[in-house]
Amino acid sequence: MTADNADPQTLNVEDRPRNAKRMDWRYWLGRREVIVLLILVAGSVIFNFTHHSYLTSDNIVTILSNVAVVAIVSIGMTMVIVTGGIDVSVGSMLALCMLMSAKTMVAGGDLGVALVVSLGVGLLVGLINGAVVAFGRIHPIIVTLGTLNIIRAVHIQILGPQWITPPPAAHALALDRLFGWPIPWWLTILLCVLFGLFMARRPLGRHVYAIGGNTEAARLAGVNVRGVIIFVYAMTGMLVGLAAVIQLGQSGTVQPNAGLGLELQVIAATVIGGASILGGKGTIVGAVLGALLVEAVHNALITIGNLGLIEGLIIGILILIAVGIDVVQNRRAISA
Amino acid sequence: MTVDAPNIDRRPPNAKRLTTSLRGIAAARLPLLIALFAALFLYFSLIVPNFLGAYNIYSVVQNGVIIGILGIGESVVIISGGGGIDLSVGSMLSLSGMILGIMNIEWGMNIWAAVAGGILSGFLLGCINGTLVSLVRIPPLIVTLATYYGYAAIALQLTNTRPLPDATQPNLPQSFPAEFITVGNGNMQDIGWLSWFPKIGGEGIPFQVFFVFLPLAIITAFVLWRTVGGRYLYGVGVNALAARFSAINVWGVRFWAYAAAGLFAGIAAVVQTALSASATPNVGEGLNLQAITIAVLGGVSIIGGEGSVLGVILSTLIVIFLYNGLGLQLGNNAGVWQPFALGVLLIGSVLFNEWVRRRLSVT
Repeated sequence: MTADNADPQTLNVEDRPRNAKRMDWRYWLGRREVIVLLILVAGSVIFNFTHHSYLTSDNIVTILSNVAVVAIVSIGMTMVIVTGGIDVSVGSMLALCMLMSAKTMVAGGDLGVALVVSLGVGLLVGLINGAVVAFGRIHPIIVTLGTLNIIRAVHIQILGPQWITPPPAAHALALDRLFGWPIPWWLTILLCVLFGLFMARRPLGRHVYAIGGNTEAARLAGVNVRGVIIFVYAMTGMLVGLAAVIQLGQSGTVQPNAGLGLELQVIAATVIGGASILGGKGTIVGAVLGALLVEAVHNALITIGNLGLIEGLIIGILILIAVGIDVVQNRRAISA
Repeated sequence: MTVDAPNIDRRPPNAKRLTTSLRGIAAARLPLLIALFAALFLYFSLIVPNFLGAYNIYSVVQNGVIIGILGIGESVVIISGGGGIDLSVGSMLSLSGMILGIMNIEWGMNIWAAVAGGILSGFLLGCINGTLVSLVRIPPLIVTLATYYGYAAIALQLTNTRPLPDATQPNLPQSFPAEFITVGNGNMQDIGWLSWFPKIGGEGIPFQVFFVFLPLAIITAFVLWRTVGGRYLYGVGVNALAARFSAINVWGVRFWAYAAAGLFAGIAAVVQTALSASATPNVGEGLNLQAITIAVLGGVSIIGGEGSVLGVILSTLIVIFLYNGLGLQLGNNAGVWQPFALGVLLIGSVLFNEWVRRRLSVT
């Protein structure tokens, strides 16, 4: 930070240089992205002392390639949560998109066609979610709880009793590597940078924050509130569509319960990454780092063994700690 | 100007309009639910052969008690406002049921002590939710999402996903005591001094309807409408700031709303365990959505401060008979379309709630 854009509160910095310096590293240590990154690195290193297979390059590649689905969906979820909404239907959406792209490939389409179909299905479902939220003025949790069930029913009905196994071409996007890292992880980085810049720099991205900060003020300032809300749900749908193709390649089959519980992991990643459920706050980078942390915990629990059942509890506690810190900090900031 | 002019309403003009429109919502809801229930009942009676049989209706009501109790608890939380919602009621039910089972079967405690333990643990789980919501002030959606997964994980871990009584552990008792199972499967006519009560179509009235659900519903309705605490709950839900300026302890009231939802989940767990004669770790998995649907369909406004126990009871009847009717009509396919219908009903009922609110606030 240069002195040029110092705000009035920090103008008397010269009086207390030590304090100002402390403020500075405090600012960086206070950033949720930095905290999550530190916990991730420190936790991995400490865990590696007891379980030496954890930080091997094989296992790291496994984590990076498994994190992609959650991370990509959590990019969309961040945008939704920043508007003050939530989308719990992503798990069912993922299942439906996987099913449709698998059907396309079984019918003879190649991976590109399957990807387009998957994106299209995701976009359509996202548009429906967004339209009901924007025009029905219903709380998003109610809308998406409803569509969670409706989409799951449609998925199971179309799937029928037989599981679908797509041809091996489906694995290309999911399992191939580029410069040593799995392609899904490269995609995650690409999307993270793209959407991170979009949210930080583009007017539409700033509108998303404006709606979450104060919907009425945003509306009075000329933001097309309904349009932006539909946009974020539709965008989430498309990201789910992309994640579905990756998931399809990784899991190899489409089952009735595909994507079940994905919404928890994604919401966990997002709020651990610093997004506020009340809206107006949250970054894409934070969400991706949050997803990495959740995946690292998942992987560590598998490494320890026979603790898989308790994963929900640990992720739940992580969510509560992350949000709890946020809430307490906010209250202190207001009362100070 | 004469002082005693007859038709002058001294309230400000808006006040009258507001009360009549609020009355409009309250008054329109119950006939609407009754009409919906009647239409549904008529439809399934005509389409599905066995639907109207006394045994079918008996077993639907018997099973419906559990979700009905959860629905009432959920309603109390949603009425408390401030984004109040409890996604964890199903997990609290699973976990309290498992604690009941472990106390009785693994530890060999008296069954009624175990019942008390199950109800108490439900209450304590609700208190954890309430503390996180009202003391730490984490948004309810996040708190109960976290505890939804947390409680469910503990319930699964306790017995390593096995139900109790566990056939693979022959040294443990292989069933709950018979008198406990009666709670879930008996009739009120089985009790001597109540045997004069007429049976309907050869079937009695399920024990848990008469001795658990009705008392709970009546007590809750009484507390909500006739006690200071209940009125505070509505006050907090309608306008938390106004409630605070009226010296109501807003967060204290909300704490008790979550604690009550936990208590109700604990009671529902006892009924569920007695009914199925086994404590199953994932029994509450799909119940959260049903409980929320029942509350919202019953006229509980998702933004708080509105709703009645009678509406919730009616919507419980609608949901359980819809599930049952679809189940009988579709057979194996029902597992697909029951959640579908529930989702449509949930969104449809909230859309309708909103439409009514806007309509009446404009006119």
